Amino acid sequence: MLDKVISIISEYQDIPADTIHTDSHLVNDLGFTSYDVVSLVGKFEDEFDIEVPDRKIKLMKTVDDIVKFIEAATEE
Amino acid sequence: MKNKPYPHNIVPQFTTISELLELTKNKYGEKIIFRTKKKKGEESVSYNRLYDDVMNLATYFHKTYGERTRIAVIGENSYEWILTYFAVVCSNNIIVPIDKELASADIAELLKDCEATVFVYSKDYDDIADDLGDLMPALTCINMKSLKGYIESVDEAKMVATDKDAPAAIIYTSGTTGKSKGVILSQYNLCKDTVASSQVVEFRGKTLALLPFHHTYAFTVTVMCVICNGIDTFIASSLKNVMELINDFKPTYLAVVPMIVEKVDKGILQKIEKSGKKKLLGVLDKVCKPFDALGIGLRNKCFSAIRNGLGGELDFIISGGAPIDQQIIDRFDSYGIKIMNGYGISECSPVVSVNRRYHYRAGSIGQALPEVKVKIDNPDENGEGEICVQGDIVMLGYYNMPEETEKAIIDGWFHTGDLGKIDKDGFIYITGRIKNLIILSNGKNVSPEELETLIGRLPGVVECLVSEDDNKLVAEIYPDEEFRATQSDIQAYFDEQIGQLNDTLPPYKAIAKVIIRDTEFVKTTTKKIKRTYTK
Repeated sequence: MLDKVISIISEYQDIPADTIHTDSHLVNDLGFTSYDVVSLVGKFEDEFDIEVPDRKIKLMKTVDDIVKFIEAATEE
Repeated sequence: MKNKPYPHNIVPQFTTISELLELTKNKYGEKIIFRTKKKKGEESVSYNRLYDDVMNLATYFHKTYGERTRIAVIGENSYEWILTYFAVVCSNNIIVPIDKELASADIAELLKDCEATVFVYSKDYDDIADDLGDLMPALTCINMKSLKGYIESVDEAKMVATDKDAPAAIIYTSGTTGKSKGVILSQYNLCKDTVASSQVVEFRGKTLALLPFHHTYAFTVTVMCVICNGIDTFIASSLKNVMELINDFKPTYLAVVPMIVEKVDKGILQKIEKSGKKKLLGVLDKVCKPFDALGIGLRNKCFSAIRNGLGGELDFIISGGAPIDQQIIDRFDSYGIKIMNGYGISECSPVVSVNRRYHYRAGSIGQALPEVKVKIDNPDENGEGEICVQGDIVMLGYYNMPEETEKAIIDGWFHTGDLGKIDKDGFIYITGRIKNLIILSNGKNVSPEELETLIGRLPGVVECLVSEDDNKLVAEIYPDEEFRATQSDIQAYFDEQIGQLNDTLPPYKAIAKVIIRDTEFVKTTTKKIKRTYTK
């Protein structure tokens, strides 16, 4: 799943996948704006068939946060 | 059509929301006004239903809560949110739209400030309602799910007489002092701004209501104006899938903040780059130019691939809430999509000026709306000074802040705190901000003083200053030297401290970067940090 998450981030932000790590901070390291993060979550919703309430999005600060959220959501 | 003045659009006049709803119900009847996505599929609402639902709910609210009760509303964009707003106002009560990014304690402060006794919330905010129930035991919390039952419980709707000039809404806005100010708007304020905006903007076809409704810009332009002009409107509950929504719904126009336009622009540029057709598009642009001057539109055909990526029917975009890069406006122009930059402020309901579809100036925020006067106060040798506004769109005042109101409205002119100038044709240009407010490209206002106060409370901080760099908030900290000596890594220490502080703040107020200074800040003679001279 991590590879898929990184691939989506890489495509969205148009940056090489090998520059994205689990501890990469979406805003500080990968140059995302708050709007980017919201849009990105929309892509994960489609890809993993999950629903992320807008209010949970602010908890997603790093790549690892996203992976953990998706893992929890897909286990439910 | 050439870039020159042309007559205003003909728009019916109305002075209250119930007049607007009655007038448009009679005109449009079963035509769809709002669409929303529900779990079971799309749900649509006609003008007839909107009118009936509002009148029934207003009857219920009037019977249950009387008049002049402050009723707050929070939630993602939804039909129920709009219904709540209208029913509160039409029952002669006062609506208080709440920013959904605020924490429970901050919301409680606002509710106490305006003496709100009722709180309407959507399902996703039930935890906030629980918190508020603990903090304010007398507060009545209503889940929006209950509204349907209230509407059905009304046997006969009774139209409540409302005063068009009485307070209808209290909108909390960021202030330079850090304390939010409650902007009081009347129905007349909102209706006049809706009519005046419709007189100069050719609202037609279909649109998406993307921006959060608690912002006055979103409410006036994507709720009031769409009703007034019979626009088929899809209510987006989130910004998660904007491009998909645009492609599915195929809007004729959009009203957004620059951040959304910037993202769409970036996406288009990336696609052009990958397709290797950059040069070809440059040639097409040159081919189209002479035909533009003759009023012959070739751009829709020449740039159809780009236009199809945006639904294929997008004619114009209204951009407001923050400055937009002229290069982006020019690029969209080349695709045959006009970006109309405008200017507004909550205190003016909010639209003050906007460029027209066929009469505009590059770099300008347009001409003042009809029946709105704009002047430059105390202009310098370049004609630059504070932008002041007069007209029926100007607020009644700040709630419970008579001194602030007196400072803001002088001799009938509202002082915006923004610097600008006006050219000989009446086009207004913003040149700066008098106030220190940081305005991010998503339209969010951040008061640096508020954040500086919070950072100043962290152990080890002597001075700090919050500023904006590349649309992100940066905190510069001058630490206590003795404290610095006790830390092995002062940067890591403050990064962690600020990270913890960020967790308590709405995302748009989060500090993205911390800079540690070795020297104290340059000060004014009154020992205040010079914001423009901090290096």
